[in-house]
Amino acid sequence: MIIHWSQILLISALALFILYIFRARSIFTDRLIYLACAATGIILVIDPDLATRIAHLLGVGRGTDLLFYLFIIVSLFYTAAMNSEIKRLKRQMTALVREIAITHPLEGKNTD
Amino acid sequence: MNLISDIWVIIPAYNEEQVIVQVLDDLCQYPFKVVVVDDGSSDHTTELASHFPVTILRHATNLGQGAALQTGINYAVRSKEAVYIVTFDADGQHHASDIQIMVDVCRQGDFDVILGSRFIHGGQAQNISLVKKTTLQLATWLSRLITGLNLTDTHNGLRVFTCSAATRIHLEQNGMAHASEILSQISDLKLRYSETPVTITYTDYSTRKGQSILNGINILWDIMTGKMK
Repeated sequence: MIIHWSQILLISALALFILYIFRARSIFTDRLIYLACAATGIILVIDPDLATRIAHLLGVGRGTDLLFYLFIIVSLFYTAAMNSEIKRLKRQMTALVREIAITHPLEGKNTD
Repeated sequence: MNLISDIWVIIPAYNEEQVIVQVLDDLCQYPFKVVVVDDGSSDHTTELASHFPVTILRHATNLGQGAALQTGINYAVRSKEAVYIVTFDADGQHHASDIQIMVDVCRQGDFDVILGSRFIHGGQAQNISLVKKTTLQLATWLSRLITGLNLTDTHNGLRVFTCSAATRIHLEQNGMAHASEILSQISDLKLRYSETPVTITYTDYSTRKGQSILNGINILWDIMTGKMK
């Protein structure tokens, strides 16, 4: 089996990603999902034909296409999740800024 | 001057140092309780306003006009002194002399909300451009269609709420879509509403600060995505 330079690069990148996940303080289930993705990535890099074989099983032409479709679907879910998270943060920030404003009123000069 | 007024005027202001003095000069002739909500201005809005007998609430960061209005409303409601809550734009378009008439109509007619209208008989829109007028009338037509309210001017910042009606209004739209949001809540909550003629004076300043037609499309988008939430 011939190992290409690109494979070494990709595997190193994924290994770095795994390292990063374990150093960052993230939730256990999130870590598991990231780890599964990275592990799948490493397997697919080592055996490039595997993706194509799975693709054929599912009726998709090439492994690259299958990965592309998966990428689109995952991105869509991720974007939706991020959007609702941003909305939630905005609501929290509004409530916070409002509460500070209301509890710290500034009285102007009284001309009476 | 009255000691305590039951009419609370909420002015959301964002970087209005050029006109805030003129607006407060006009308002402070009347015995209203004035609350300026400085929506994270980076200019001297708060400093200039502090020379007047008003209360200033400061947003630590800019949230948008809808959010500023809601902050002022919450403050007025919590005070337990406000009986009528008025929303008033900071850009000098409105006339303080219209407020008392609106409150009187609200009191006598036993309404929950009185909305100012520049297009109803007796109302005025001074120096309005044809483009602006057309856009506003289009917006009015659209808002009537969406909310089912029978109104002649749906994007007027001068409104009077009774305190109990204001308690039930919850603005989720921080940005400029709050005008339409207020209307849909008036409709959903089945509040008793009426319009009163008011005068809107357009200056170069207010035209520049006001809504561009392009931004109208953004507002429409806010409303639609807000509805689907």
